[in-house]
Amino acid sequence: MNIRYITPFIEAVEGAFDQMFQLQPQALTPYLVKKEEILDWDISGIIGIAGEARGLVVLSFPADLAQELTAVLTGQAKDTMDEDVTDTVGELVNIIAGNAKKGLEEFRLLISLPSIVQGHHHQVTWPSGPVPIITIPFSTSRGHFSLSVGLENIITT
Amino acid sequence: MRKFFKNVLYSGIQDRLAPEDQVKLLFINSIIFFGLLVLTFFGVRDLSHGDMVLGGVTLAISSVVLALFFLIRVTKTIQIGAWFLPFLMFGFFTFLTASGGANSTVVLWILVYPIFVVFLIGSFWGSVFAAVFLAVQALLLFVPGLSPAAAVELEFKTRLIGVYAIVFTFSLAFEIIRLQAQKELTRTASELAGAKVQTDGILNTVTEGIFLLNPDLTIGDQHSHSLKAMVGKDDLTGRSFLEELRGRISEKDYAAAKDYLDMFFLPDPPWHLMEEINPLSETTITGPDGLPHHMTFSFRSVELSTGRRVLGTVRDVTESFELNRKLKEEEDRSARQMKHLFQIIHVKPELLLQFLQDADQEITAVNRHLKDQKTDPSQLIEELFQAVHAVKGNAALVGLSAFAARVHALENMVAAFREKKPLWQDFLEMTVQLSLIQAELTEIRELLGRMSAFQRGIEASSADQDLLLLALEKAIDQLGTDTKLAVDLDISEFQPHLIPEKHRKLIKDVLVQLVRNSYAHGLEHPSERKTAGKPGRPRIRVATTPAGPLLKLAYWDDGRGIAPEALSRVFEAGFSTAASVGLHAGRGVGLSLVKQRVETAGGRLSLRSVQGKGVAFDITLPLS
Repeated sequence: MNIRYITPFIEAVEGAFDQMFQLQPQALTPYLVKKEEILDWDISGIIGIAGEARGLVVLSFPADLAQELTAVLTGQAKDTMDEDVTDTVGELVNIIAGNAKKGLEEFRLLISLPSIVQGHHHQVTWPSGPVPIITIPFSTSRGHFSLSVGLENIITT
Repeated sequence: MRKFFKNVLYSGIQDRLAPEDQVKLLFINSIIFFGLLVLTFFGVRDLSHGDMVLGGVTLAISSVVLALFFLIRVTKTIQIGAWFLPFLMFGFFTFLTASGGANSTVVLWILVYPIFVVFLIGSFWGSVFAAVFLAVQALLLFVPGLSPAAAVELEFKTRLIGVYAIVFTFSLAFEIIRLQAQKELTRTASELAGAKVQTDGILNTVTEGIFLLNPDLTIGDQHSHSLKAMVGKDDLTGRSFLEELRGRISEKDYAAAKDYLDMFFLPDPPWHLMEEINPLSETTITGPDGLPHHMTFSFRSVELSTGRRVLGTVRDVTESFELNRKLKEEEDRSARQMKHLFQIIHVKPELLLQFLQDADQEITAVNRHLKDQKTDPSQLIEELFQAVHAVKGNAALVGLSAFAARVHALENMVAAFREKKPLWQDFLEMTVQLSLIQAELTEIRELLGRMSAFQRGIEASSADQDLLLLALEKAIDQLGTDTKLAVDLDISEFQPHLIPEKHRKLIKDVLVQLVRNSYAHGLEHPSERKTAGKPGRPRIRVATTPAGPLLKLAYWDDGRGIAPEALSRVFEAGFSTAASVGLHAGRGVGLSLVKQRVETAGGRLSLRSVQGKGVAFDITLPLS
């Protein structure tokens, strides 16, 4: 795992939140996550990475933050996890993936279209093998969310 | 409309004829129409002059011929042979000469004849016809009284013959040149067609993507079938190569590829470098299936008559790339594990286990601090430093020096945090390092797990299963399969652990031999057993009885027993009751060998047999 693969995603997250919601998320201290650990989130956007590094980048949100962000975009208060919420998260993750792509231009990396996983305490299947997973929590004035990265660097091990 | 005229002029059989015959057909049909037109014209003229009979007949003939021509063409194709016309014209022109015509000028028609015949029936027969025609015309012109044309001035007649000769010579020369040119054209065309068939064959079969790039970097119309599959589009001709790549390769490769390909069309690119600086020599492309493919491109400049082009070839090397990657991964992993293994085997197991447990605890504790976000930063750094330091110290203590070196680097990083307030990037870098250390610990633990599983495997096999019993069961199993005769083995009174180590091999060999003997001579198949009133499956029983300083081993089967007359000889070497030598019986060495080996070991072997009931062997061996 190379930190230079991760920073573009963090910058993309900050950019996308500022652009879409005028929020300035704060990156907190990162920590390690075990593969089988079930995260306490309600909705996640998953971006696949292939090329000189392989793995997943996952953006996870609690229900209340996802609903609040949706309310900002649609102008209507939300209290259910309906299609609008999924669409909002999908759109946000799309923009983040697109922005990160620019920051990753110098590497031979391919970034998949994001997919959305929903459900309380959902679990992500990480790549097999000894792939370390790091979670970077973010705090915003409207709540917390997290960016988790599990990358297997196949060029320099 | 165009098709209709073409069909009429070629008589509808254009496709079936060689080019030179097509021309002739066109020519003949044109003459027919022209002739009809002239005939109609004269008919109308005659009518207007009041010559009703002649005009009517002429018009009637022309309309009948025209009607017939179309009628026949509709139902079937017609062909007027090239040979027909020379005869027709021969007659017609001769008639004109002989009749004299208006002012005798119609004799000029004869000048047309050589052109027609040479063209229609070729140089040889055309010359023959032209010569005969000339002779006939000369006869008519020069012999007085034969026709009014003979009255024409002599000078005019000789000039006419001269011009005829010139026209004939030029017709001949023209026809020869025409045929030659046509032959050449046909040959080139068929060569080109042959070359095209081969090129198509190659381009459709080759697994590489092959294409030519025009100076504007569009794809040329000659490209291999595989390229279409790689791009996922059928019509690539004229499409921009770079546009097809855009979005499928990384932005970096895209920009580099554009610059690189443009270089090929510079007046004098650095040819010797071109291969080396190819940015697409190894690249990852999103395929039409949406998955990443590893591709190798190579580009060469090609000078064509129409200017410079770039020949591109591309191969999908995903499979070999993936294989290499896996191999390298495995190699790295096993190299690391060997290093660990080498160090582990020098460490006391309990120390190592303690170390792993401690290290795991330290990292988990630190991670908890990282995760809760509540720990004061300077406090967090202190916690981190102490945890990392402890792990490093313990690793060095148990002798995992490579691992300790790795942790040492992390320790330095954390130590620097004490001097300079870390940014989140620094924390990220630190966490990445921590994750790698944790991954390595996991690997060591897995290695240990496998080693102890291996150890347990060895212990389990020797403790749970007696090898002697295993050999006995295996022999029965094997013979049962070979002879298709299943046997019940009774070992309820068999205690293999009573057998002293020094006799184990002997007893194993003896038991296996006795089982073979039972199968070969004693055990009957179920049908035979039923008539004898025995249970369907034969039984074999093995039992041990300790008797003071001796071990008694009993072997018994409930087969047909040994015939009384053979009983006294079964232990003789070379004696066998089997009629033929097979895999399991007939050599006559089995029982004599058993007896001999038991006696060599200081024991005794005796045999009892009741015919129809079975055989019992009793073996006694000294324990000490």
